[in-house]
Amino acid sequence: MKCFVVTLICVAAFFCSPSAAQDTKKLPITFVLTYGLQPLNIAYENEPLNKDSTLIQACRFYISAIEFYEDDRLQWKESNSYHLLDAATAATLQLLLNVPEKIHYSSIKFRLGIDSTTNVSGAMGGDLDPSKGMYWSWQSGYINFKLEGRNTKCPGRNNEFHFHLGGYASSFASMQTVALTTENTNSIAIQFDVQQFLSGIDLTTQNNIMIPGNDAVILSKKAASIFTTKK
Amino acid sequence: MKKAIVVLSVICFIAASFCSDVAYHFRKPGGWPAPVYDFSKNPLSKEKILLGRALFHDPILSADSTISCTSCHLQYTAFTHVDHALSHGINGNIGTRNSPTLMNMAWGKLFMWDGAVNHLDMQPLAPIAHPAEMGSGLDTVLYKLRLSHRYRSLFYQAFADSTITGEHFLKAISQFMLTLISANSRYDKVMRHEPGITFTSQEKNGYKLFRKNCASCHREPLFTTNGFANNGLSVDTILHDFGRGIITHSSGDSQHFKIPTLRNIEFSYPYMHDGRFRKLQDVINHYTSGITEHNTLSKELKKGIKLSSNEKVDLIAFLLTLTDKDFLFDTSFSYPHHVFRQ
Repeated sequence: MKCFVVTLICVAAFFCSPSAAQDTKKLPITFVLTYGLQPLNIAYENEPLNKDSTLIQACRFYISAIEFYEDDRLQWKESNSYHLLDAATAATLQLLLNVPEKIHYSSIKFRLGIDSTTNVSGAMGGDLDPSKGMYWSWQSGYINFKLEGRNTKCPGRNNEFHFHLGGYASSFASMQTVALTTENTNSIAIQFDVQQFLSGIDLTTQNNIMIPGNDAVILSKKAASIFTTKK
Repeated sequence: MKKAIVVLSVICFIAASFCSDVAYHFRKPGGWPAPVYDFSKNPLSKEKILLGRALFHDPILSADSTISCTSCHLQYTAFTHVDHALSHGINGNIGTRNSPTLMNMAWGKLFMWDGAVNHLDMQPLAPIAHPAEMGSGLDTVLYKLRLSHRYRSLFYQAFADSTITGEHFLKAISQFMLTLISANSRYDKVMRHEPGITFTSQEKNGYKLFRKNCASCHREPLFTTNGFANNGLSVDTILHDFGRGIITHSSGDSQHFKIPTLRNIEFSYPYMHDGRFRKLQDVINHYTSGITEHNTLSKELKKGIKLSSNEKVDLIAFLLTLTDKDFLFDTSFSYPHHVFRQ
């Protein structure tokens, strides 16, 4: 019966609500992932690895809490703003936001990763579903940023490197805030150059980070610094 | 307008008939603290609990479909692996820790001996993925469940959604675990002043000794603070397990392990995170004469616990009053034959 009443209220609300309080428009944000000047390619399994070359096998990360500002004043923020971007699935790289039609902004702000509250709030659905491969099993917490691939400098098995960056507890909180200036246009393109991320890492010694800690925090900061709206 | 309301009502009635799960009322035992688990995010229903119970008992969760949750968490022994110091998983692999008891999980804050898991919903991910336990992964388990007509139907009955998501899977197992409440031991009955039930003089003395020496960590009524402590165990030279320190990277947490509940302790042997003690007598002797000094040793143990041999016997007599047979043999927790027969 309770269920019936709730459904009745919902349906009534749907029919009775006035047209949305504010007119909105779709604003696409496209994340352009590159390797240097080339588009980022995700390597297929067993692709041969040439000397001094790098193959990227996985590049996935969470973008959350998207906000728009004009002169440091918040103009609009997306509610329930959690997006899992996966270089292997093009559709995930374009976010379609429902923003107010008359929005004015000069900068966009977002988080790279998942906030600590969400990290301790149990099982979630959608992009936050732990079955998405971005949640640790041996220790609770989301992996904010995952980059896997191969490079001949890596001495380990198959010359692989794994960077699983995450951690929410205060001392090792790895979520980062990214703020970028942008023009007030009908679409926004944000670039992320994987080569630039790897350039500061000595893969001969640092090729496996899969736990929260100082290394994860340092590399998370580095990753956050690479996003750019510049063409 | 009247017509519209009639049509609307019909639509609603049809819609409502799809969400027909039956709410389950969580009963907090009298005098207990408020549960930690946020039920508003995962409201209990009979269908979801039954689904969780089926998953808990089903070896489909392991890589080779041989090990279920209940393999290491048997109901009759307080949902732990009796007689096994370290639990074994697929292919005869032996883990590094003693499987903990499962009860009164709604009051738990951090899970596992080292508190690595921060929420009950997320707890099953660890044994499912551990190579020495179930050796599988959430995505693999979901794939197998989606192939099962039985589970598609059970998920639909529980969540009005047969797609079987990770969120629903984990929430269903949580629901079952949340129903595992042990609050009907003789100790509980004495505390509730139930007619005709009293402690013997030996148990009464044991309770007094318990209150004096044990209760600050094994706090009533849960018989744990759900905190972590170094209880003076020497570090096993093969396992090299430093417990919570591994998770927090803090030297102050080195050799800290979860303080376990003492409820149903009669049946949950062997004891400690590595199952090193087979008998309660060994546990008591550890506290009176086996403490290893360490800078993270619990302050309660620094001055030592002194008990005569008679007092040790009395203390054990009290601990045996924490046995809750209603819990250990509650058929609503057991293997759901009726589900798997279908």
